[in-house]
Amino acid sequence: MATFPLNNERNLVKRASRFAEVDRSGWKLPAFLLLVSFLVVIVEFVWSPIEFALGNYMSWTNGVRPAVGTGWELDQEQAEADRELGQLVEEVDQRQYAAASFTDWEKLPDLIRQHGALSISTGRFLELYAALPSFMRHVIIDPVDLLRIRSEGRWQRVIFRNEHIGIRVYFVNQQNFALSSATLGQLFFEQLSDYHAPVPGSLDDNTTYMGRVFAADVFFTAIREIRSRNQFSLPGDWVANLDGRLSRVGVSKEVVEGKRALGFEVDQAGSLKTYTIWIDDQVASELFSGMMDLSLFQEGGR
Amino acid sequence: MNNLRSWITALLWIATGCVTLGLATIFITVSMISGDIPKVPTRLEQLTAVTPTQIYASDGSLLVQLGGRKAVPPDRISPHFFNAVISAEDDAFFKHPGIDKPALVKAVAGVLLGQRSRGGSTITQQLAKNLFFSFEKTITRKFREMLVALEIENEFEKNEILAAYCNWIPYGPRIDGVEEAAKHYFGTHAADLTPTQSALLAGLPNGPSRYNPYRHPDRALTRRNWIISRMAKLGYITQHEADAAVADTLLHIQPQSSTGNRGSYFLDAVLDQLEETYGDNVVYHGGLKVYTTVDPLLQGYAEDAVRQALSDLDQRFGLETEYSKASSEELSEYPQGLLVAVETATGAVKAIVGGRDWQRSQFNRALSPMRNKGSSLKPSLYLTAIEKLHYTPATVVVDSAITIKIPGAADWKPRNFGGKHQGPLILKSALEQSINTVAASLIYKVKPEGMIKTLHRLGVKTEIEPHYAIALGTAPVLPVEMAGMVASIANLGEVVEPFIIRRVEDNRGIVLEEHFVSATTKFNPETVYMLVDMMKGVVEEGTGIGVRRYGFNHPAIGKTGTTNDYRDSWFLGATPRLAACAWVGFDDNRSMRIPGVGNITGASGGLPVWARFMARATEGEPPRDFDVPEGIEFRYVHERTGIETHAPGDSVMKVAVPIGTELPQGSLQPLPTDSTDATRQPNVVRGAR
Repeated sequence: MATFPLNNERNLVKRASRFAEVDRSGWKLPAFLLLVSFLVVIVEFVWSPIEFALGNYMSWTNGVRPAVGTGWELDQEQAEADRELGQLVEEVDQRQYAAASFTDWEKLPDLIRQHGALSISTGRFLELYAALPSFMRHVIIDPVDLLRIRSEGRWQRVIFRNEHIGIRVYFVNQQNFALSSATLGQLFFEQLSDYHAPVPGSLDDNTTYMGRVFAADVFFTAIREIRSRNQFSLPGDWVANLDGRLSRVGVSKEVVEGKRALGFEVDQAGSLKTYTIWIDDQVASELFSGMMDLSLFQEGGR
Repeated sequence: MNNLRSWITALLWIATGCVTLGLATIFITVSMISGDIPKVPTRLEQLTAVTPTQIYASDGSLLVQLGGRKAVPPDRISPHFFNAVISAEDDAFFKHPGIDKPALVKAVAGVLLGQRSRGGSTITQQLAKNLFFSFEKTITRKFREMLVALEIENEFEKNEILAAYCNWIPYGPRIDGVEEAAKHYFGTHAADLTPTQSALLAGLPNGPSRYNPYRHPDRALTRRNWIISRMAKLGYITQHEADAAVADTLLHIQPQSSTGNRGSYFLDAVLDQLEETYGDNVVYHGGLKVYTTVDPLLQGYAEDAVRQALSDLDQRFGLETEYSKASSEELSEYPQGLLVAVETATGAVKAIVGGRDWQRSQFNRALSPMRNKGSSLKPSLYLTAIEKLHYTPATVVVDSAITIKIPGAADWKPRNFGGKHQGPLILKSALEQSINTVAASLIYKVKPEGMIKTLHRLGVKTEIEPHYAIALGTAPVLPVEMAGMVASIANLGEVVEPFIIRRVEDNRGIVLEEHFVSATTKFNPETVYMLVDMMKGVVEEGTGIGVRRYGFNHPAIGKTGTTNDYRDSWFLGATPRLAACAWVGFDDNRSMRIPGVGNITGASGGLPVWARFMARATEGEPPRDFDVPEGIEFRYVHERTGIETHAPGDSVMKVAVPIGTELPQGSLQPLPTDSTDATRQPNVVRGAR
């Protein structure tokens, strides 16, 4: 019986089996790579880490990126619109403040120049109307017409608006329909100013009164007759506030918009001042004729 | 085996390398291009909510909404609508991080294989695209859009994204956002949408025109049913509900506004005025509330009147194809028209039609001063004569050939329509017959400046050059001013200014602008009534008598106007309530002579437009005549001699004259006419230039 050395046989078997076995060590890397790739794909498809990473990165850089694109353009246009609208509303607000600060007729031209238009309530208008010298009220609205539109119950507010012919006053109802309107020209404000503020100096300083100045007693006599016919009277508040002694009265040569100025020369402790009141030309002319007749009569009497 | 192993190993290395390289490339590219990518707002509503400017008609109805988008919060959008949107656009919306990879792979594969497949864009991507990007189809744009989508997903909750999408996307022309769409198509709120309604609306963003339920109801229905089936498949509704919904073959949408584009010329006028006052930004993004004067009913009547009258004219011109179907090249062959209607008491413009079809021609002829006015301006001339020359409707004037010599220019020799002359006749008869030589004689006496002054006093603001031909309408007066002018005449000299905007408010209701109606008395009512009497004669017995053929039976004043060679046909007139001005002509100023059929005059062009409109506008109203001022009385005079008679009869006209007017007395034998021959002994006068 043939024998083989045991060790050699074992070695041979080992070698033979090693030869017959697959060499797994060479597949480890590809297998690992395959596993990694597979895991990456699985992880990406299940948890989307790349998208989240990119999303986070985009959020991180959001602050430095530009506000462009349709949505932002619209947003900017809206912001611009809001800004412009804000200015318009500011103007409206200022107009309302201006309307609230409109307490003196003489401020009206400046307010209208600044704001273009003003709207005031009926109550506020009535206060302002009452503050006007009575002889000037009808320029805005005749008291009877005012009573009529008040009584009709539709009058809602008064609008003052700058128009090319001057300041237009509209008495409007809820539908913005003008129930009455008037124009306040430059003369209105000149009259108002003249009425409130005397000019230093005598009537002789103003050429419009040249040859048309009469003594106070002549005026008082003439006005008595005029008043009986024309129901003309001087504004009571104005007379009450007159500081000094009336020395002479002049009737202006010029007629402006159907009105003629009456100049009142007042002596205030030796200094002369002239107050002016504008009255209807017809009454002024009648007054002038009356005073002229009286003067001639007095001169003739002498 | 080793060989195979090496190959696989190499491939895996390459794949790993590619993935690594790809990732690196993505991050490098992102870091490089991210600087140009639009930033995302901290609140999506910041971009999706835009306050609209709303323009209202005089009856309070909304005419149009400009530039706005009403964003509603997620809890005010029906869950059915969210489900429908997800079913239609992105069923993996709640699972993906902004990009739906399987859908993307499928879409790319579809493109590579040349197959038509659903786009791979998610709702978030669509939102990103609509918010920030143009619609150009490039890889770069797509990549940027994806990055923004990823950021949006990173920053906002899913329901916020879904709500922003629903609020931003267009559902049709001028229908942006689901709230507006729900209101437009179903007259309901987004919160109240049913599954079926939701399915219809959710199908629209994919192709607002293609699936327009008004124009393509079959397509819209198919798309709706597909979305319903998807909703059932995804478990949002039961199969039973889906079957019931699909079985309903009606869309149940609100009828489309019957007015279509009605009011578009009016709206253009309003927008022009608003843009001039406030600028584009405020108008389109300021959320203004604009209250206008237009009366939708009258606007509709006006558009119908223009369309019907022009359609009749098309036939006379031998135009067989309907205007709406004519090709762009053929459009100039068709006559155009206009109508402006003004409320006489206030000047509020109630209707503006600036052409026969706004869709085909947006040029607003009602606000264009270009055309001559023909005899339609004669009323202002006659009014000037009444005021300056103390004429009355009974004043005898002479219709004879007249030549006005103008230094440095050719003599002006106006001719009558028909070329014949009648000799003496009263002023009322001259206006009724629109005699040009009488108008020439009057303008010579009152001077062009006198007539222009009257036009301005009647509310015309356009600057007019003083020349004699203004007597025959050569003046650039706007049609809307003409309507205002005739309204002022109908008001007996209380002049009103035509206006189209009553009030403008900001979005908080603060009044920015308002119109005050102030009729200013600029004429003596007795004076104007004499003109009214003569213009009533035009309608009752003169060139405007045709208005009665159209069923218009109310007392009215009117005047026709035809320009040289029949290029323009005008009619303007008024009742005590409503004044209107109408015109017909060709845009290229071509003559409207129709050989063998008849030429188009004021009575056959503008008058039918006016009369058709007025007949409907005054339908059902009790007839109201013009108030007769206290200082006016009616007398009868012979139409040629002006001699007073005390009863109506042949050749006798009733005239309105101031009480106590001295009229010629005597026998009623007509005076011999001085001429019926246009060439005989013309009356030559010397005029200033």
